[in-house]
Amino acid sequence: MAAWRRTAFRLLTACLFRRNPVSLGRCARGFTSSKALRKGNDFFKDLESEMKKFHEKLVTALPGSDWTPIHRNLNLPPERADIVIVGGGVMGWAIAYWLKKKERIRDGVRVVVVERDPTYTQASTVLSVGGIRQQFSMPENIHMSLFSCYFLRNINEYLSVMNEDPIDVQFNHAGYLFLASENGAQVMEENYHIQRREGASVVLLSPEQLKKKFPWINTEGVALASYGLENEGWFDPWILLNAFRKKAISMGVYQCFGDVTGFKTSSREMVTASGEKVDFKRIRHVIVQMPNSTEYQPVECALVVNAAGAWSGNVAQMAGIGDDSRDDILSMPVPVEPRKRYVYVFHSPEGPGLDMPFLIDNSGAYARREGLGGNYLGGQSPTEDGEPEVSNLEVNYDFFTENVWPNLANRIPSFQNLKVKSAWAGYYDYNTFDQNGILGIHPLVNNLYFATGFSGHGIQQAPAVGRAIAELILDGNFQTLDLTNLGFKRLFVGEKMLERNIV
Amino acid sequence: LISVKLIVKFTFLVQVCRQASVHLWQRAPWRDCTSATRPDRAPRISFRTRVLQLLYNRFYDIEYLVNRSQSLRNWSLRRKNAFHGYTRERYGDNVAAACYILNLGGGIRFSGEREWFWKNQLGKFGGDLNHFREIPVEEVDAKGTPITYDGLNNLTLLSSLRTLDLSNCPHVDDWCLSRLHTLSESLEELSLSGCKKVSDKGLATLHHLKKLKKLELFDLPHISNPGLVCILLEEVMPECEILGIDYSDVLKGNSLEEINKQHS
Repeated sequence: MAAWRRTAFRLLTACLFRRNPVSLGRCARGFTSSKALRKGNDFFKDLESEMKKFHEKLVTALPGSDWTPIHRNLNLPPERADIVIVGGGVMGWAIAYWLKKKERIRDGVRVVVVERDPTYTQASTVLSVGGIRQQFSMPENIHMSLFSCYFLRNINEYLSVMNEDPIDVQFNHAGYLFLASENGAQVMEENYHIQRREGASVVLLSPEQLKKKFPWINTEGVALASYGLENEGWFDPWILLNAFRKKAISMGVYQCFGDVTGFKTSSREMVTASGEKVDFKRIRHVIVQMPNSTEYQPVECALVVNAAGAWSGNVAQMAGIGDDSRDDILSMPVPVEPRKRYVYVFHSPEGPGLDMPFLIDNSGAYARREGLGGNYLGGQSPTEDGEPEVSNLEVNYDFFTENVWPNLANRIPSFQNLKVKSAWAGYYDYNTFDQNGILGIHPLVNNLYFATGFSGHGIQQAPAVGRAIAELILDGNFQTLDLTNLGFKRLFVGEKMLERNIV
Repeated sequence: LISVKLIVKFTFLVQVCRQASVHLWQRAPWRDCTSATRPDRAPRISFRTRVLQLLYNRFYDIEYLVNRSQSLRNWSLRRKNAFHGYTRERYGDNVAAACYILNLGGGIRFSGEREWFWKNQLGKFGGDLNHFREIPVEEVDAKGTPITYDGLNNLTLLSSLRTLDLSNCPHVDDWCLSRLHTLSESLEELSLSGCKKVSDKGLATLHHLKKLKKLELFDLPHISNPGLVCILLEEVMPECEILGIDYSDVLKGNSLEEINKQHS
């Protein structure tokens, strides 16, 4: 490589000298020639533009390859890629991994993952509680979560990298315990039947059985409880993210830290069967800006996957989705917005022990054990009017004392004696339409795929969603799990895929 | 001119050597993705694995062979632990479980019998299992067998299994323990000694086993704070006798405050 660089440099200087009639060919003389001196540091002034010219020449000489003897900035993404994934959270890396796993020939697809935050300090993946459950009401969600469990169980078959330590995602098999009041009991029973039918291992408990199983619980106001026996609990999302990332990079995915600031699109007018004119857009370039600099790189690509989580609404806007001035489907924004959720860590010396499940109270508060030393995590989703502001990740401690604590202490009396040790906040990629994931291709921007809007259960569905998106891209349709119902169509038709008992 | 050629050759050689050494000593690019929860320890990779890694990165054939041998190992493990659906359909749950355990190399005892069934030296077991179609399996000894999560499906149907010995099974992990809840109505004795993959997160799931009287937990290296785990287990299962863990582990050095600190 060094030799190449040297020849390129020589070529360049030769070019310069030929244009300069005073210099007589020898390097040293050339630099100090009177004309060059008169112009001031002419050589170095020209160097950059000459380099650029040389680079352009090289690109025309070697089309289809981005080999270059001059390495300008190693952090820049490659100039061409097949698939650009916007968002390097667990969803983005899962998609990248499955794309690589499913490719037919080696290096068949060139995948670039663009992540804004190299330290992952604000990433929703890392700030989540990491729960996984099958107690949903939609079969799609149940199956996705069941597959994720299978994936986590065999994670070393999927994600092990040669000569690396085996992956241990720290899965806690504690199960979820949902409590329902008189009003919710019927819905819970219906959900239970759906879950059993789809293969989840769940049991219903009456208040007496509940009291017998978990003596530390206060069953007042509980009409029915459902308890997951298997495949439910929580794990460490950071380990899962890193496992996906390591494996994907080892398989040849390009990692790039930068901000996607825009798309270059081209549009084409087409006419539908009924004679309406429709604009079809296509993304040609993704513009990636380097962090803390003005340098940017347009990445020429065939497909873009929007896995930007809470900010995927903004990314969609860059592609012209949600443009008010139009009157077709493009005027409809993607209904995903960030919502801030607090997680509190507290210590309760007399709290429940090893049998403490991931408890979800009928008031909406939740709590789970953290380690063995009497520490617990807890929180609650605020009401629609009480949504906190999302510009920063500051924690409102009053929310715990006013809303979460009374509910938890009412349910588990030993929590009356507790002390908050710390807290953090994270973003949900909240789907304001129906709080379920949006999977699939946009109908009018026909190379933009979405995997977003999971409203708090993205982590537990990531392995399944990654596989589904990879199937959609490489096979053209869903092969293993049919997730057509979670596609874009429902947004336009107005058919909500609502999850009953949402947490 | 010859000297120039020699110099060029020499520099080329030096470059090749340098690149090789870089590949041998440099960390792989994905090593940068560190995990925060695991303490950073210096990677001690032997020279042999490092050479293999170099070859693996360089040659597709080696990569293919390594991956293929791994998947072959997984496949054979999976085949050994397959669900005995056909046997179960024809002869019932008990015979299917017995076949499975005997094939793996374990032993089995039916209810009301004195004698244990084992595989003989030729790897065969008697054809008279058929007599035991109606008799439930009471004890299973799966010491040191390659039993996995998938294989446990054969055992979870046994409604009157009283004793289960899983000691020294290399593939028994937390996921397996989370599957044992199906035996909660009958299981009285369980041994997990020497299962290197079991951690305290798996032991926490044993609270489902209401009738458990005896639990053996010798030699479990992956349990942090064994004394505390023992106390918490006794709290949720008061009638169970836990062997293999001493309270003195707590009393010796780890005071409860320290444990709290570790877990916060």
